Formats: sequence, structure tokens, C-alpha cells
Amino acid sequence: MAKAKSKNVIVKLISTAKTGITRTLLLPRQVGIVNQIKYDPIVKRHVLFVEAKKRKMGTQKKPLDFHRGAFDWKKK
Amino acid sequence: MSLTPQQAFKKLPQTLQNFFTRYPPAPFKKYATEPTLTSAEDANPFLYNRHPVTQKVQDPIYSMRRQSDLFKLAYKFGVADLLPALNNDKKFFQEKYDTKPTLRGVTSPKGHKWERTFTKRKTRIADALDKVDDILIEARGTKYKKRLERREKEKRTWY
Repeated sequence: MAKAKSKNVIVKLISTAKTGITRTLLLPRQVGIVNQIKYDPIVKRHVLFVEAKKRKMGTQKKPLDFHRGAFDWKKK
Repeated sequence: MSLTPQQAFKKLPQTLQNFFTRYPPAPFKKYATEPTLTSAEDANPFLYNRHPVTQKVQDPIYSMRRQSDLFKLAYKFGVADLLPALNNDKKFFQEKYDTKPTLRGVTSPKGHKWERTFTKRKTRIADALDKVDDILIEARGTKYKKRLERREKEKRTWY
């Protein structure tokens, strides 16, 4: 029997200042791409941390579109 | 009182006397500095030599250990330069250290990995730092960009 997949995954975020500083998060498997703005102690400022690895996230919900004309009032 | 050569010879230790009796020093006999035939007149007892018929290499008559012992003893009594050329131009005492070649590691040490990659890493960080603001603006939107611009404009200095 195949081993059951865990509900959560460990996600590694890496600093975009290329200092090698990383953050690790434990997230539910289906959560979309996570970017965080956090402090990087080497460059001594806040920078964007992005995911270091690609990962499978399953089917994602489409984000709601609030632009004008995005919603069609007419029934089809 | 000066000694005659015979008297001086008698004062040498027995091992040196035996050696010089068997292999007389420079004025009486010369020895090859390169390996020759074992039957040669100037065959060096400190070097390996070839047999004239079989052409096989024969070990030196005096091993490296015995050569070193003889040299050190002769050096002590000031007659080291009377010995035949030693195997492999072997040096002793201070001369040995003076003639050592300087190793590459001494003139240009390899260093630790962090030392070798230091400048490369620093330039990489500096290059990335230039783009950090653009990346943040992209992530946070135009409002953040405007806020940055406003802060820059409203910056107060003492001059």
C-alpha cells in the first residue's frame, strides 16, 4: 500500500537579496505560492522572500475578478 | 703543536678510519657522481651501480642509513668534504633547510572556502540589493511605490 501523503508540507523561502538567508514554513499542501516580506539580517533591511523550490499545489481556486465588466449581468 | 696527517688520521673514530682505508679520499682517488658499473675504478660506494655482465642494478654498498651515519660522524670531525658524493645529493643540518624549495602553499596559500568566494558573494549581494526595491514594488503594488517616492521627496536633512 502506498504511503499516505501528509496534509502539510515544509516550504523553504529564500531571500531575494541573495544572502542565503532562508525561512521555513509548515503549510497545508494545497496553499498557493507564498511570498513574504521579512527582515534580512545580513543586508539589514526588509526584502522579499520567495519559495526556493517548485511544488505541486493541486487545483487552485481562481481569484475573484473585481474589474469593471468582469461580471456579466446578462444570463446566458 | 700541529699534527701530521698520519697522526690526525689516527685521531678519527674507527668507523671513519675503516671507511677511508677502504675508500681513500680526494687526492688519492676520485669517485663517480653518477651510477656506473660495479667493476668501474671510480664506482661510488654510496650509489647504486650496474653489474657489467648482467646489467642488473645492485644496491649501494653503504645503505642510506649508513651513509647518513658516516656523514654525520665525518661532519663532526670536519672531514665531511672528503667523502664521496652522497646518494641523491643528500643535504644535512642547516644546508638541508637552506636549500629546500619554497612550496606553492607558502607563497600563495589556498585559504578557506569563505575567503576564496568572499568577493564573489559580496558582489552578488550588492547586485541583488540594487533590484530589491523593484522586486518589493512588484510584490506590494503601485501604492508602495508612491509611498517610497513621497518619502524620498519629504526627506528632511539638516542642510
